[in-house]
Amino acid sequence: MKRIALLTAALALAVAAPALSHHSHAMFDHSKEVTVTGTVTEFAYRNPHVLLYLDIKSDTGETVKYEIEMSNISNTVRRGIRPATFKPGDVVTAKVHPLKDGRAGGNYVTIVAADGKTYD
Amino acid sequence: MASRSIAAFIVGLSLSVPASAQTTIFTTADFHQDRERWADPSYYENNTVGQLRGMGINFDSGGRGSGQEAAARAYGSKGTGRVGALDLASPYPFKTATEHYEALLKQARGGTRHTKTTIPDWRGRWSGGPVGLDGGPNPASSVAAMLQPEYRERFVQEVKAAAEGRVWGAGAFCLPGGFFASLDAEEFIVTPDRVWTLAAGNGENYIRWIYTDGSGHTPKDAEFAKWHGESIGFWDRDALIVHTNQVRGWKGGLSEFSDQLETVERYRRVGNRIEGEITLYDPEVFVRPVRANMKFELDTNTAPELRPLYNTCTDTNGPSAKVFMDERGILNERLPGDPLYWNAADPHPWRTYLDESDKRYERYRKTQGR
Repeated sequence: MKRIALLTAALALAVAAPALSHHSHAMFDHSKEVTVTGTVTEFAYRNPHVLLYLDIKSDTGETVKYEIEMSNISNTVRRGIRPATFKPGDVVTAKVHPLKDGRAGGNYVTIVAADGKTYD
Repeated sequence: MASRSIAAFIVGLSLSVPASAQTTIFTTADFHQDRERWADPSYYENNTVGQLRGMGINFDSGGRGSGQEAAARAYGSKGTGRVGALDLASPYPFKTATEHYEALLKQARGGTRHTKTTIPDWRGRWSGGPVGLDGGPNPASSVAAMLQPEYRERFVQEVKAAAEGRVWGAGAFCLPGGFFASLDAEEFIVTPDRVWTLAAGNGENYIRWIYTDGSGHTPKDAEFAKWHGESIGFWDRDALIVHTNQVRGWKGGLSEFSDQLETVERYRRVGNRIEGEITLYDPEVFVRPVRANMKFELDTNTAPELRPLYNTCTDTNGPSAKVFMDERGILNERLPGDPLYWNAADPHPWRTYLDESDKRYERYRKTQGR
């Protein structure tokens, strides 16, 4: 699995809206905020967590599949994100709290959709 | 006389130890050895259960968090728990839930028989449930003090692990939330002879059937422990009284609960609220009956896209590991001893998880030189 260190990363202040989780978020590093830009391969509009999958490029040019864990459907609706907000082929930029163990995944903070609109 | 001298010596000894030098849940080498400290607020540095859990959100990063992680706290920081801020002990004189329920039924002169036209109107989507069952604003010691020794030890194990970011959650493993999760009702379907409560959890849906037709509980020889128990009730004018037994022991409420748990609930609508209380009787787990308020607020956002959903945890967490495809391409089952085997008969999977987690964490700490 590719280390997040390979990815384009940026640290910034974390911003997220309240949400109830069905599991602990201790697996994510909330002191870090990583920015990932990639192409949407799948948007799983499901409970307990909505999941967004991106193909992103590592620093070495390899394509890496990145999983972004979002909140539940109810909270996602309240943020204005609908089933068709992200479509395969869209290029999006997400800020996430990355997994602590370095695998290619994170818990979303904000996402800029293909049309430029920011969701948090 | 001799025992008094010894007691005085022990008290003197403990008073002579500066608070800062006393073992805490954060400094202990082995919490199992701290039995005499478990009901002392200073053992938890006065942290509430919620604050201890908040430390686990970012255990390795100094408790930084914001937004949905706003409960994050630095590991080992001092808490704001206030002893007695919330009284968890039941004020009622009853020793059993049945005694309690029967007394309320007698007080209501057998209960109010409603018709379709007189039944209270509880339509709408509600949000709420029990308040402060994890001890709320009290230090964690207040919860420990309500638990029998075995459960007190398990409670300390669990909150210590949680503060260190090691958390067992039923939903995370696609296991049922159990009885206490079912109390967070979102809809009350009220009819003269039955009440249903419904809730759409993110990973599963919850339903309770409450029989108010006077038919009573199932016969003793047909009783068995069920996830949400079995509930009967009656109306006392506009208040619903519920007795639940046959609950399957699980995790929830203060800590754990056993198959012996029985509860008495009371609900009454007041404007845009349903207010009530729940009294828990479980002598296996609690040193005395426990009581908590229940509160539900009417959700005024009726947007169609926010309607409740049928949910299953497996949608994102995947199917059971018990069944798998073997090397012949045939559906097969994992048995005890097989990798990834899960013991369906384990009554306390969180204990299995936490015992293993304690061992792994200890090994990890040593390899990290912590």
